[in-house]
Amino acid sequence: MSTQISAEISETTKELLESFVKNSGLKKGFVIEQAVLSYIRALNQLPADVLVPAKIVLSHKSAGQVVRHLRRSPRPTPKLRQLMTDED
Amino acid sequence: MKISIRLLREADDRTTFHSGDIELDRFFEKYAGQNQFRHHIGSTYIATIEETSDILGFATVAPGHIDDVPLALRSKLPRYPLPVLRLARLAVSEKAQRRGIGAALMRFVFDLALSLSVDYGCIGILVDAKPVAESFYAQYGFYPVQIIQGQSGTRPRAIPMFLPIGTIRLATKKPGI
Repeated sequence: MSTQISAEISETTKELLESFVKNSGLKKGFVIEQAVLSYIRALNQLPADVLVPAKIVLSHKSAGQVVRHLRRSPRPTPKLRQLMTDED
Repeated sequence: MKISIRLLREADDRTTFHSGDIELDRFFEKYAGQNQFRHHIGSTYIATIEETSDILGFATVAPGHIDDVPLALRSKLPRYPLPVLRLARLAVSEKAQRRGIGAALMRFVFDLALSLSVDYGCIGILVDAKPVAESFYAQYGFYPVQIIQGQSGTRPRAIPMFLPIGTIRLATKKPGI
């Protein structure tokens, strides 16, 4: 049994896919399914602790602190100032 | 000894690097290359002595974004995610410890964040600090934050700490300027 999906992809990727299926004679659906499976398999080879999640959601308190510091940055520590003004 | 910091290359020998932390060494040997060259989900910068190929330390960074900031806190901020540079791992070789390699890598990461903030957007650095390294980051002004989604999966559990880009920028200015 199969099902249908739709997805927004870039024009470049679409052209690459069209060109590949034309040259290889493979069906578009087959190529897409294999590509998705390969991608997931590759990611699964990485242990979870190696992946660095891109989306970060902070607690209300921490988010408030970060937003406040966007407007008014804390003064640098002496150690940071020393490191950043060191010419080497 | 002139230290240089550059992007990891596929040909770099990562098998002889020992920081004394098994998890960091395993990551560097087995996964830093995969993350960078195959999956493109993070980049590792290495510290070397210019005359040799010895790897003295490394820092792995990845892009991240702070999302779902409550509307009540946003005030005039747009409803977009806030981009950050995530410092996922940093380690120094056992044989090079206490020689300023960690500081040199930190300086590199600070400069990288500053340049990202101009070129692409970056509101600060979020580090996944090992509990033993909390004071190392705190001396540069990083403070702990509580993450409710997107916590690093490292063990022992990392302490997320944040340093605003404005603080780094202020630190580049000499007092009185």
